[in-house]
Amino acid sequence: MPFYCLDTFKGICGEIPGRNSKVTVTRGAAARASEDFNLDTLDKIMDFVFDGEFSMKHFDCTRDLIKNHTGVPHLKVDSYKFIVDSKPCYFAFFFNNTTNKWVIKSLHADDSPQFVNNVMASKLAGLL
Amino acid sequence: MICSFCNSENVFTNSETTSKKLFNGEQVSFLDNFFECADCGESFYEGSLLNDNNFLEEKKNVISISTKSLISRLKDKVGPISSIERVFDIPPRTFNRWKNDGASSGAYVFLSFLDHLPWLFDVAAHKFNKEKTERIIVRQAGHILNSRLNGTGAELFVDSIVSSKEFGELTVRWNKPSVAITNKASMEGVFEVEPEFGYLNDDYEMEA
Repeated sequence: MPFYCLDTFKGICGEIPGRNSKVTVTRGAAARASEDFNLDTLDKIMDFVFDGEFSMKHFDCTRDLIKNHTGVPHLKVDSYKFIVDSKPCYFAFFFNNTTNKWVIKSLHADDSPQFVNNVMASKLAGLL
Repeated sequence: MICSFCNSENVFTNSETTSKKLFNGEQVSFLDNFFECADCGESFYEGSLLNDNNFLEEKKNVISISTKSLISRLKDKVGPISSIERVFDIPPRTFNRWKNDGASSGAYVFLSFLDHLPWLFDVAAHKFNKEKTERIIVRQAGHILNSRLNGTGAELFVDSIVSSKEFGELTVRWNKPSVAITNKASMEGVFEVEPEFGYLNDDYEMEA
């Protein structure tokens, strides 16, 4: 069961211009989003989260955010997997209520064999 | 500024020149401004330090330069610009305007496609006729496969080409032996077979 409401986060990403002060994107996530999905600006990334067409979307898991810093609050990260442009995609985000920011932690193509196999099976079955 | 990963206030601004690839592989280098946390090491973007304008400005410059070279290449690859404009029903001297004043995003996509797949000109010249289009694709597939076979002593005969739903690739079947080629690995496997081949040329007709 997801820790956060994805629709709430999607709604935040659709707020223009409010989203710019509410959403943080890691540099790594932005670089991979550009490389893998041609999302080359923060605006495009947030538009993508807001109204992207995700097929086969499913909740992956909730993990603790691990950072090498003492006094780190126990932040939870939700991750999802879905299909974009016929490619499996991994997406992870969290909310920090101290900074009051939503954070896009990861957004990239997912080449884990299990998910790729699931996608291929669905393609062969004509579901995609 | 507080780091959203570790709540540290030890956050500073940083910048470095980096590059991103456009949809067609062109590289855009730009000055990348970002926040970096001195405690947890995370680097991130926020609205107060948006990079998009830096990137978009450089992207516009790259597209402008690239458009000029694309149009020059198209003259060699496809034919006279006036013919391209006529076949695609683009108003005369539009390419000239793109070259001098810059192309829109849509125009740049069109030019990139035509540069990458110049035979799209032939498709348009036949008014997107389905049968003609299939024949052009078969011919192009034959050219590619023959170039891969070059030097192997084998020649290619294609008995059918069918569209595959699997990742939208073409599946090419050889008549002897009956082997389906779906990727480079299996193509390499076929080369070792040294089968008896016919020959595919420009006059190849698809069988019904």
